Amino acid sequence: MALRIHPSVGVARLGNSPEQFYLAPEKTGQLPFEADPFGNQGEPVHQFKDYAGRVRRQGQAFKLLSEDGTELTLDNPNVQSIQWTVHLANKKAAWYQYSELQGNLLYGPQNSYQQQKVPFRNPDQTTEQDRQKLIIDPGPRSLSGRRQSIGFDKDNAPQGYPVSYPPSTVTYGTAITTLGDLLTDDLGRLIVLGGYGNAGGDEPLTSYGGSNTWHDDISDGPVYCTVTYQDGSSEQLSAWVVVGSPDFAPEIVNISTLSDTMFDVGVRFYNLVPEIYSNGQFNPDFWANYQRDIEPLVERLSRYQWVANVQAMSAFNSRQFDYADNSDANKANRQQYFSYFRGLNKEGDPSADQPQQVLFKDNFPMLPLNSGSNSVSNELIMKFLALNETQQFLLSQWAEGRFDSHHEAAPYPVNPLDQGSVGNCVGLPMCPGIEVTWSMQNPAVYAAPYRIADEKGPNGYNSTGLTPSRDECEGGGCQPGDLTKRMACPWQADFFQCTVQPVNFTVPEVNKANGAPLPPTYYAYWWPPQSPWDVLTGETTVEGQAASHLPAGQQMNYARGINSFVQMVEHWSALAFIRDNNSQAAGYPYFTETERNNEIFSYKEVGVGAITGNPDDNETTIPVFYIEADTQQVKAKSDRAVQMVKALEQRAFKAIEVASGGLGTPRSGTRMRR
Amino acid sequence: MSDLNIKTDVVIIGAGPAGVCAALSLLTYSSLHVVVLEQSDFSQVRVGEHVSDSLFALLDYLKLQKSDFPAHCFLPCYGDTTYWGSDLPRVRHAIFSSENASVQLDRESFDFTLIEQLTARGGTLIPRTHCTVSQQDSEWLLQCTHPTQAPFEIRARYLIDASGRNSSLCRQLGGQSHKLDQLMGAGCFFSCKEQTEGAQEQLIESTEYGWWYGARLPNQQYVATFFSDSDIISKLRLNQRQHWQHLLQQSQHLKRLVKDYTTLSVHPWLRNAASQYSDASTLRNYLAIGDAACAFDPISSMGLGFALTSACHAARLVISELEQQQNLMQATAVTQARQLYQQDLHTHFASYQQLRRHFYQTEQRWLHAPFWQRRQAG
Ligand SMILES: Cc1cc2nc3c(=O)[nH]c(=O)nc-3n(C[C@H](O)[C@H](O)[C@H](O)COP(=O)(O)OP(=O)(O)OC[C@H]3O[C@@H](n4cnc5c(N)ncnc54)[C@H](O)[C@@H]3O)c2cc1C
Repeated sequence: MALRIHPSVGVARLGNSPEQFYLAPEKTGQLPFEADPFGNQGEPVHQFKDYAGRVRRQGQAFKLLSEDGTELTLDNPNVQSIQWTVHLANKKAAWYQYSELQGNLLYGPQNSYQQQKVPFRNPDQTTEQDRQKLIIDPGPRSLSGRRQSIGFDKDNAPQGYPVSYPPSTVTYGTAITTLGDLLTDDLGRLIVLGGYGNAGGDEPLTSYGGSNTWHDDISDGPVYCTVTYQDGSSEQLSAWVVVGSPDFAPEIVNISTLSDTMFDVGVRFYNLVPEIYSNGQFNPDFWANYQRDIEPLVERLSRYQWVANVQAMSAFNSRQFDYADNSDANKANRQQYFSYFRGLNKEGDPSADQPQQVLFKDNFPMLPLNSGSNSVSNELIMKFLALNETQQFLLSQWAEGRFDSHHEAAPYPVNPLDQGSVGNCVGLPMCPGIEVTWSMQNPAVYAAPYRIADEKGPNGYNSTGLTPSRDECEGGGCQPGDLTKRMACPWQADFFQCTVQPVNFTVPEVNKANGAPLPPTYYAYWWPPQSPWDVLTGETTVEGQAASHLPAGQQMNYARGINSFVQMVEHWSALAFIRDNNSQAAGYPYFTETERNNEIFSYKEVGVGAITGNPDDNETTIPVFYIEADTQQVKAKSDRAVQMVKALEQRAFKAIEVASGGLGTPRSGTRMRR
Repeated sequence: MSDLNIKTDVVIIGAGPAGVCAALSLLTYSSLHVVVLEQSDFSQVRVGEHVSDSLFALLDYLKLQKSDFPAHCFLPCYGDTTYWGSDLPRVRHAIFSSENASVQLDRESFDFTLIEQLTARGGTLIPRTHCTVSQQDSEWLLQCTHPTQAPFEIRARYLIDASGRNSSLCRQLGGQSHKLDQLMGAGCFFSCKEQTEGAQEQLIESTEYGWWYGARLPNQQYVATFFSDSDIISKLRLNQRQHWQHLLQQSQHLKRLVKDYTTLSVHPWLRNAASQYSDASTLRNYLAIGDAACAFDPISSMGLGFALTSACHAARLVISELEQQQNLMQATAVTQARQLYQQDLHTHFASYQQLRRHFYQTEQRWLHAPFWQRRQAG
């Protein structure tokens, strides 16, 4: 029976905790899992941060499953060995500047980067050779067996591989020395850990797309597995892994997830569900299922309110009629509901006058109430968001009454792990997005539904290294780093700047005039489930509130206190995780901030008079949060203690290693952390 | 199941002054292999800084000179005022000490220098390590966990308990501990940047509910601690900043001293400061030292001195036991030495009890307040 690696596209996430990690959730909207130091999975995550308030990395476990769901591990008596190879890379600095939809070949070959004259990042490096050096390419790493580990740092690079690491000194931020680590757990499964959220560069950060000279430790790349059986036969499998920024609200799901994107591509281009779509057409006789196809959407709309003020959306979960009722009597209700969902632009059609440029239906701002994939520049405008084609089709079938309502609907032919991993990433809008971007809407980057096409296979770059300027959307498969190369560099720039967007809603051909959004504008969101905006405070103790300076239950800006790009680069891990405090009672979620590092933020209540000069105005005050320039206040822990602990441990554990070697216990690979 | 193992002669639990000095003593006077385990990452600020200058004799025994420590490590005591028994200022040692000379320690420098000496002399200290202790064959087996390392085991012939006042290890192993009171300290750190020269360095002030202790620390910090019984502390809710501040405002002298300082602690910290005595003489190959053996009221300033003396005595005992274990003829001598050690502790604690009674009887102003009433009988 055919064996495959699952998830087909895994999602690890950055964290700045040098030693701790948890494991990726297996379902969309699920909490991650605790893990022991070897990556063996435990209970749902207790805390997202370590004892020092640093965000733990999210590891992605990869399993070998046969079609019927049975797992193959080292415990299987027929297995002689399982060897994993992963090649992570970061190509951001070598790619083009992020230019919204320019360069997106879904708009046709004339929209290529070259034809649109989109400039490169770091344009001073002009030769192919110099541009290749901008790539962070540590080369592939392999490991096999149980409880092994290896890092993507220089010291572990395969002999002879033309590795490429960025400069080891930077003016701002922290230099990148590794892209992460690989581990194997007790059964020989692979765990991929990404970078530490470091970013560094020499020029001030100025835009959401990032700046020249910057690098971060995001990455992606292929995952290979060779299973060798006792009879000497072997099998070669592959998958992909993407390293994203932390998911600060893991239980809140985007309206259109990356799984929805992959499903849509699979349905429309790979014949994934022929009953839905075949011969270039959706099947109007397809019978949708409420629980499988519609309810998740309703649920996502309902949870959005915990990370953004989208009052208009709450009507769409108010159950003013029975959403599961497919009767004709209910049809008018369903159709009215559906009519508030914005229609889609015609794919690849650059003309301005299209449904996604329209904000209101009657006097109601249509859904989803997010920015579209380009509400920023005046080229290839897509002001507001619409569901993807397949989502929209299924919702229209529901509106028509072509659906049933029961819990036993046949699942679609996609492994649940494959849906679960990317189900926690942003699928729309893509500007560029959080984890990956619009290249994932392009069938050219896939080998099959939910499977990324791989250009060369294991060790394919051993003598050449990676190519800096090749556009994989032209076909031929992806290289390590291709999925994330379009994203902001560093990621913090986009994360910090892009949660809301004032979008002009009156002139379809224009987003901006004189460098600013053309008025009148509407306040639309980008990706609050990943990068929250309006959140409830959650400190319920006297001490907690003394530190946060706020009562519990007050709606506040999520990033309050982080007031610049550079502060985001340094202090992103101080942000809260938004968590359901009442998760045991399904149906009554209560999401608040948790684990915010209040200590680093200072607080002042500023009288309005301080700005206006009129003392009368001081009766109204504004709360101001900021990071104290004088770190004295924060540093209760002495540097000396930190240094001492480091030195003591290095010494002690080195002694242990030597001692254990003497005892003959096997220990290969390198230590998990450096 | 564990891949990593350490075998050692002596394992010491707790890297406070007692544990580290016991290790130093063992390393200096024997060739025994020593491992010290510490649960913390040393980030907690260390409190307790007032010591008699007999400390130097003990350091001398450990072959440590004053010059081995940074210059600012020992400060002479001045500006040391007590309001105890009356509202008139007195110098502290006039009431609380039979010794004349005492010093103020920079605890971080002091403790960290000891730790550096420990590594220099070949000892091993492993921070951030938690362990469960059991006995296997005639050895101690410690199953250890660490935030970055795989679980590992330590096997040791001898275990020294220097884990401080909680004495949970002693009780877990079947020893006994006797608590005289439920004293606790609730304190806050302040920053005193604008401090003027020659200002008040230290202050003790008794109140109806207990007593305040304020002390200047290195790095332009100041610590104020309120000592009282745990039930009183919890009734007054002194773990909460506004209640603690409120009580501070009711003090006569301390409040004036700290009025220009900025509070650094977000909420008050609480530390156990109970007087207690532990007896583990029935346990083989085990000794308790420092606060884990006898813990004294901070008013006595005896804690650190005792931590060091008991450490040195215990080390001597451990050396003789381990070196003589091969020689069964000496078994009775060993037992006797152990009994002598325990007896010494007992005598020491008994005389401390008298001293303590004397201290508290000097304060007669609130005889009906529970805190003072409890301390009159002794
Ligand atoms: C508020 C206050 C003020 C004081 N003022 C004075 C003073 O002015 N003068 C004076 O002489 N004394 C003073 N003392 C007493 C003095 O601080 C102690 O007597 C002294 O620190 C005892 O040293 P120790 O090594 O026995 O214990 P500790 O200093 O308590 O050290 C114990 C160590 O063991 C570690 N540990 C505990 N359990 C474990 C475990 N299971 N595994 C691993 N590690 C563990 C702890 O983290 C700690 O580092 C004061 C005490 C208090 C609470």
